Amino acid sequence: MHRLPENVRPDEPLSSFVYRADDVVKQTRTIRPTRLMPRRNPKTNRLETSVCRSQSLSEAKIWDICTVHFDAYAPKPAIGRGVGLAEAVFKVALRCDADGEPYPEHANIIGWRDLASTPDSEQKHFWMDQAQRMAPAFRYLARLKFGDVGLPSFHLTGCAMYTLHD
Amino acid sequence: MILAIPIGGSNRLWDIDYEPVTDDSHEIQRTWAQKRNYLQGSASDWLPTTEAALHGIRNDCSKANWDGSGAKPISDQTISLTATITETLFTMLPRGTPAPDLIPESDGEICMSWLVDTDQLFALSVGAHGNINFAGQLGREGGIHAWQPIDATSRSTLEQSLQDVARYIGRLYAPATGKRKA
Repeated sequence: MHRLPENVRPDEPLSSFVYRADDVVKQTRTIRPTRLMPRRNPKTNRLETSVCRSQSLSEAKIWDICTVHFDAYAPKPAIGRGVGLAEAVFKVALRCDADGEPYPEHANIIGWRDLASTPDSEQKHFWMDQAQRMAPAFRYLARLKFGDVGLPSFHLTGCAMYTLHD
Repeated sequence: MILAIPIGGSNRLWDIDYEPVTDDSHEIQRTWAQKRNYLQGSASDWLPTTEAALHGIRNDCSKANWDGSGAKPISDQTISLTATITETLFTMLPRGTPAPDLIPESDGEICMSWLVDTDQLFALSVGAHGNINFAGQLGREGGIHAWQPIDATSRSTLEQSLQDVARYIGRLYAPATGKRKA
C-alpha cells in the first residue's frame, strides 16, 4: 500500500468529484469555480473544500473511493472529476489540510478568508475570486463507463482521452 | 482611389446615450431595450433559457442537503430574486450578450455566470439576504470582486444597484457584440 506524504506537495494532483453536468464548463473542459467554493464544516465551522489526493491511485481506485464516499450520499453518481495540481491552490494563497478523513486520501482546501465579525454575505466574493483563479487548472475527466477497464491513472491535467458527458 | 470609412463608434440609432429621468422614461427605456434585444436574436433567448434553469433548480435544490453534502435549500425567495435580476440585466446589457448559466450553490444561493474563456468570466451570487457578491476575471484588466447591497423594491432601484455589474459583464462581450452580421 502506498504512503502519501504528510503534506500535500505542489505537484500532487487533487480531484473534485462532479455529479451535476452544469458543474462542468464544456467550452474549456474544466470544472466550474462553484465546484471549488468552500463550505463550512458543521463541526468546526471552518471553511473548506473537500478534495481527493489522487496521486498514485489507479482509475479504478479513484472511482471506488468516489462510490463509497461521494456517490453514496449524492443524489446521483458522479459523472466525472476535476483534476488539477495542488500548485493551483497554493498560487491563490490557499493551503491543503491532508486530514485523511473519512478516507486516507482525503484533504481539504483551507485558508479561505473568514473574519468572524463579517457575515458570509460580505466576504463570499473573496472566495469566488480565488475559486475562479483555481478552476482553470482543474481539467474535467469523465468517469469511465462500465466496460472501460485497465486505463492507468493520469496524474497530470490535460488528458484528452476522455469525453464530456452530454 | 482609396477611401477611409470609419466603421467604429456608436452611430446606430439604439446606441444613443439616453439617460432616463422619470419613472415613465425608465419604462420606455426598458421596453425599448426588450424590443431591441428581441430583434437581435441571441438575447431574445435569455428568458426561456433562464426560466427553465430556475425551474430545474426549484425541483432539484429546494430541500436541505440536496447535494448529499449538507447543502442549504434554495428558497423560492432566492429563485424569485434571481429571476428578477436576470430580467433586469437582460434590459441593461448590450444586445447579443448571452444568457447566464445559473448554477445552484451549496450555501443556498444561485450563481449567475458568464464565461468567455478561463480568464474572461464574471459571476454573480444571489441570495435572500439583500446583498450580491460578484467576482470576475477580465483578461488583461485583471480581476475584480466585491459585494454590495441591492434594492429590489422597484425596477429602477434594482437597475441602479446593478449598474456596476452590468458594466463588468458588458466588458466581457464588448468587442464582439458591437458588430452586425453581414
